[in-house]
Amino acid sequence: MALDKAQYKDREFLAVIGDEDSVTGILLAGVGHVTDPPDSQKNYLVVDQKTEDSTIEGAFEAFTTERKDIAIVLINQHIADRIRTKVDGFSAAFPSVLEIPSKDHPYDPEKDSVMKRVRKLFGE
Amino acid sequence: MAKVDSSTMGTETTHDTLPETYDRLDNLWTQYLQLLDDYTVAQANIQKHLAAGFLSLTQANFQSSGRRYGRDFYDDRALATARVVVEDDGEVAISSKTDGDSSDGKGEGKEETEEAKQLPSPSPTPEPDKEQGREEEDVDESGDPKEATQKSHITDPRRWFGILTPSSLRSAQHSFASAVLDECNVGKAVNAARAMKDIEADIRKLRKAIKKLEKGAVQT
Repeated sequence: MALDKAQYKDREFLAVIGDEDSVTGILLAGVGHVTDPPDSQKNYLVVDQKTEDSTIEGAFEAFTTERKDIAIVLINQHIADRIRTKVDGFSAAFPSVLEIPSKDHPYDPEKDSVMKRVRKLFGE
Repeated sequence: MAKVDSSTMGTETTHDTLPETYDRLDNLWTQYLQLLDDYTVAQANIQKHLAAGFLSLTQANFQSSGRRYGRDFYDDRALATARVVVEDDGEVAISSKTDGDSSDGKGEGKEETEEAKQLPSPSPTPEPDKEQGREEEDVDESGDPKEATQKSHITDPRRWFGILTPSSLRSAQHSFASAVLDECNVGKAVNAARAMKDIEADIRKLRKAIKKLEKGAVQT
């Protein structure tokens, strides 16, 4: 399907929202990027027990809406669950949001927003 | 991967007969199920690679006696080597700028052997003049010292954790890189999910068209 080039021409980075091990692993793969100062922006967020849902929502919003250089957002599924309404409600063509498992939380297709869409289509 | 065939889209429904519309809907379902299979397989691959990566990372943390390979070591000047290229049709491909060295374990091994070879044997008395000369040479080789600094930032993220990292950390890096960079993993899952979204809209359009045609057929 033809897309408006303006939507994706500058999108070249991946972003990750996850627990410490997931982010460390993904950054080891060479994904980590910090933009030039003065407003150095990171393309990752480490989420732990103390992280507020509003912080996760803010990072998700920044990666999906504010920043125009992100093409793919990887998010741990158990963290996506904490902001489920936002993740399921995101329908823009770019960036793509992909739910991935973490060390302690295996991937569950029942919770995946893509698989939810599939079930909805079959159930209609 | 199954691609969305624009000729089967639901935009031509008005001129089609009911059987033709059914055929087109069947075609869309075939494509959709193929994409669903692609997505499921890609997710399974991602899980497999990530699980291997988490295991190796845990081993590395265990071997490091109290040191944890985590956020305390992230480089605040990191530059991404994994980049996404978006094609005109919206398909994405993820590539590594350092393909052949830092992205795969084999290249890393080579690099390390070379480093080991270059290391001078420890001499009892340091030779400051010689050392200084070597540093100057390094700067001259790359031309601009700024460029040299920039280059040093685009290095292997494993270096954030030190020069002598355990082999389990290297194998964790290899597993995570496979999960992200291999085209049959993240890239495939993303492309399949996007194509599925497009087909979902077309299937809904065709379903509506079929309902209209069926109503028309009943009335006549």
